[in-house]
Amino acid sequence: MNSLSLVSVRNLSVDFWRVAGPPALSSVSLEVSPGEAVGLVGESGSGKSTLGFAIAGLLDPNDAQLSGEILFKSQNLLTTNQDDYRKIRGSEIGYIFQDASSSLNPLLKIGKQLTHPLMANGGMSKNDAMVRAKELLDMVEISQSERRLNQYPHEISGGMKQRVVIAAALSRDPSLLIADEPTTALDVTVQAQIIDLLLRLKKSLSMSLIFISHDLGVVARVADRVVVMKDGNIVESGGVEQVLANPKESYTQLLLANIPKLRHVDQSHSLSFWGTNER
Amino acid sequence: MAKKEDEKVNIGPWGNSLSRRNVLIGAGGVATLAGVGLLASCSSSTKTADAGAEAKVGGTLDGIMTQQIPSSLDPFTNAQGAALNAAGPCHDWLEWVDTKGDLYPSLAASATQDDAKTITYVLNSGVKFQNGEAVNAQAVADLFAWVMDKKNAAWLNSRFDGVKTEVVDELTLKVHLPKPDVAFRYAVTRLPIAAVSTMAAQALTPSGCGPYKFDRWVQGSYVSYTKDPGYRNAADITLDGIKMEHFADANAGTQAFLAGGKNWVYPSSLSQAKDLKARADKGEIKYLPAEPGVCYLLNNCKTGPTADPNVRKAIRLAFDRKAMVDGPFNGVSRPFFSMLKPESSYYVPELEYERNIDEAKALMAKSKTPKGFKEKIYTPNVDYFIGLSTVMKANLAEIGIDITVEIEETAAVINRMFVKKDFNMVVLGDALSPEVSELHEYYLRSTGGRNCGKYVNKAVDKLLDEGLREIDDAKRIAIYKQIQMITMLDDTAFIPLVGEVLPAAYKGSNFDEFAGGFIQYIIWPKAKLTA
Amino acid sequence: MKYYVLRITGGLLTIFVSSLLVFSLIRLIPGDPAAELMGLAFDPKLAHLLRIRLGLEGSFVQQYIAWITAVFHGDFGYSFINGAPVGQEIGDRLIRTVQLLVGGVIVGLLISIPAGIVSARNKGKWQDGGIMAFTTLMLSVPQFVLGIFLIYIFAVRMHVLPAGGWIDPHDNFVEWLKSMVLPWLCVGMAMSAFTSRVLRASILDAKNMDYTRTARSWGLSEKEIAKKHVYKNASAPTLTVVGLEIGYLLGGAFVIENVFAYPGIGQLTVKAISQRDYPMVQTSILIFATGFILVNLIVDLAYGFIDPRIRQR
Repeated sequence: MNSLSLVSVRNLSVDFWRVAGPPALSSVSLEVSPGEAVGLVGESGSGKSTLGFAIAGLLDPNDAQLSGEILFKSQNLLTTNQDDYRKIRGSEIGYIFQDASSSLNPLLKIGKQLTHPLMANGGMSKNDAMVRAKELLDMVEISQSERRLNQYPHEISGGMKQRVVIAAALSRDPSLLIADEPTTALDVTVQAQIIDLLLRLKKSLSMSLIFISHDLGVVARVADRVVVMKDGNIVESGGVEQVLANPKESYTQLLLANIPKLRHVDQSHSLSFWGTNER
Repeated sequence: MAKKEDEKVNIGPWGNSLSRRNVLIGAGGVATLAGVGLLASCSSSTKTADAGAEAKVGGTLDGIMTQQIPSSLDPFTNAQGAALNAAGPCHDWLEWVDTKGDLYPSLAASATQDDAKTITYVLNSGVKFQNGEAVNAQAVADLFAWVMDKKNAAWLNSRFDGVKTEVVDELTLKVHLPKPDVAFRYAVTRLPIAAVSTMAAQALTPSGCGPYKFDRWVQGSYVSYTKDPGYRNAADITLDGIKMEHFADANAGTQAFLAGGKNWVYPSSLSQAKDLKARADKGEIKYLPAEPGVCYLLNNCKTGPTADPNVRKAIRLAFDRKAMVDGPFNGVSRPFFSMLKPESSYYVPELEYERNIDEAKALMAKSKTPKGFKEKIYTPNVDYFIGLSTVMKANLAEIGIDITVEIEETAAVINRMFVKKDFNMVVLGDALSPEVSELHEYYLRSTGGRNCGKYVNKAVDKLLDEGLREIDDAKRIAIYKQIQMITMLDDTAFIPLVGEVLPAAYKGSNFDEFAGGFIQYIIWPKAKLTA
Repeated sequence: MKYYVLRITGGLLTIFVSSLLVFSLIRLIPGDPAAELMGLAFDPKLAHLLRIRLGLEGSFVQQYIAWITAVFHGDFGYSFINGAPVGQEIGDRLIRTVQLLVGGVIVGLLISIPAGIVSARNKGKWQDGGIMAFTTLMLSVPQFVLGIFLIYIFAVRMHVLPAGGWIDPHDNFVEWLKSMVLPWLCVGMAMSAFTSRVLRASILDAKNMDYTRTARSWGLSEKEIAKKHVYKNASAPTLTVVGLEIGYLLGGAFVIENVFAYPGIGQLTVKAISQRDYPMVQTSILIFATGFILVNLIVDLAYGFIDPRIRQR
């Protein structure tokens, strides 16, 4: 539809083999323009994370059946072979997961985890990869970056771990960053710092951003556009101010009603009210 | 006194002193030793028993002993049969005995019972121990003294109580007994003749004056021997060596035998009896259900419900011996009604009877416990004893006796019988002896060493005394018939069940000279491989 | 570091407690070494003399102190049955059991590592089904049955390997090696059953972990992910199981030793217990306890080598 779109999801349906009942996604369509930040909102089980995984190609074809189209830079990823898809994922799409503490391999040093994709996909030498890894840690504002490379995940804080995950996601300059509830597992103050960091990086690296959250307050800060999902369908979408100020769907209204102090969307406060009830 | 080996002599096992199965395996160990003597008696006169098979000169006889692994090779202090079997090839002794109870000379060129209290041994001349010392009257007297010294803890010690020796000359030894005892010579057949100076080392490095010299013992694996060129009849030894491998597991040992390369397995697995018999029928192997012992039920004759002779008689009549033979022994045993093999000249056929539940019930009704009772049969943790107790439990349920089969480790059962003396019924086995007095003295004399059931009958004690004094065969047979009628029938002091069979399997194709028997029948100097 | 100090102290304590336990237990169970020596030839007067000679007439505490003091001086006592120094015999046997177990464990790993990887990689396919069916069989068949089966196949039917019995490697190394094949296979197959299942489960677990998904999102290939993330992480739980299996094998060694007529320490211990050869039993149980603790300590060290979180505790 929109030839300018970076990502264009058309009539995407996802059905998990092992889960009975309606499909996880039924005929969903979504456009993301270059540089745009889209917020995916919904309760748990609404299909927002599934959509994120589907775009990044992280759904195991043995578990899930996908139909429809996912166009990335006009290439249909669903008909692309696994290997090419993997390369696109490695170079073009960054992914940040919900739980930073389990997103990193506890047995490997941070430096090793950061350099591994750089060497395997970016063709860098070990030394170059190390230099780049340090730059990345600096970029995500981790102090003593040199030292961190030699540390194990359990030796650093949760917020720092999420910064490492972000650094890894950004290591190959992706044009799309998918952040799936990147702050839910973090302390309140840290949450704010991470959101700020993401916003700054998005701007400086001019990426598109898909920001998945159940937290409308955070989405309001991050996204240009909001897509509200329920039971595998998109129920409402539009500009962030329009949807939040004037929700058409009762479901959206319900979501909004669950945020007691949305009216004072003042960052430090708002974040203190909705937190980790999804997980 | 010596008898010629005119036919295939069935040189049988005869009791060493232990009844436990492991001991039984070695029960014949003594007889094994005895077999060594056979050579002495026959070496000059006899031809090979199996003249048809061509004897091969040289080679190593390689056999598998299962179940009981020796922990010691000292048959002097260690009453376990495994030690006797494992040490057998290096020993020789004064006389040996066959299954019929006949004595044959060995180291002693002659042995004479001067009277019921005196024996004269005249030794062969020029014989040396493997350590080079001379085998003379003094050496034998020294050995007797060693056995009699309590601090040496020789297991035959009590049998030698009050014995005096008299060295008449270099080769003549007179033995004076404290009381009439015509069975003493049989006790001496259990004593390998070794130099007293070697006693301390016997457990690990056995040495005597037999046809083979001890070579190596890897505990838990094997014991090996090489032929001793210094043996008194060295020319008769055709083997270069003997190797006895020890397999704790009878099934594995039997498989190893079937895999080839081994000359025999003893005892073979009872559970494979049918397969082995089938192979024997096809001529692949030879199968010999050797019967070294008798399984019995021992009742407490002094306390508890079994103190009533009517109860004991009822129990005796209730037993189904066919089920005992077919079940636990897989068909390779036979019913027993006394402490003797039916082949013995002291055997009393009148003791045989059919199972009779009606009469058993009538006896129970007359007893002090007409309504029956509950009791435990203490049972060693050995497959066939457990099988026997299970049959007995079913049999006795029919006459109102409610049995619990109480399985205990063999060591615990022995301890219970002899040390704690805490039991009413126990099932066990003992080595059969060709000498009639042996088991009767142990179990039926009021002061007998194995009379754990505390059976007391003054008349029997008196008859036993007479039996030890009597030299005339016919009179002796009459005395022991009287003893058996009283103890097995009237008093039912001891209930024999079935033969304790340990079947041997061996290959006839490359090995003979077992003289119709198995390890306890092996005449070591004559053992050879066929070409 | 503190972790290891604690582990070693705990281990030493366990060895001490087990020495005390076995010392008292062997004396508490019914049975009398003197009666055992004499069997049915039991003679009470002789038994008393024997007990004095065997050092069994003192009080329990006196006996224990005498024994443990001697042990600290490297003197493990003398066998009640044959009077030989216990340490010498146990040393010989221990070496053989270690040879049996080390070879068996190597065979076990050679079987279970490829089996676990192949079945995890082909989860749900015929390879997986076949391997799982095999391991289920191995888990349900007792070791002695497996041993007899191996003997039947390779020795009785095919005549390619000896059926059992021990050959001195100094006499004939090749024959020794041949005689070890079936015991090693028996230990290895028994061990591989559980180990390969655990490895398979651990690999599948690791494949579903968040960090694996993260690595996947970095565009790494499945092969690279397996190499860098899955196997290393799956090896930690597997290692624990291998450690436990070795402990279990140590305890169950006598089963295999009996089937193959292998003169190891398990066979010796079982026999010594049945004969109430106290010094032999005490020392070998002490060796078992030490061996078990040592194996687990080594596993812990290896675990720490793999997992930095343990290392820094």
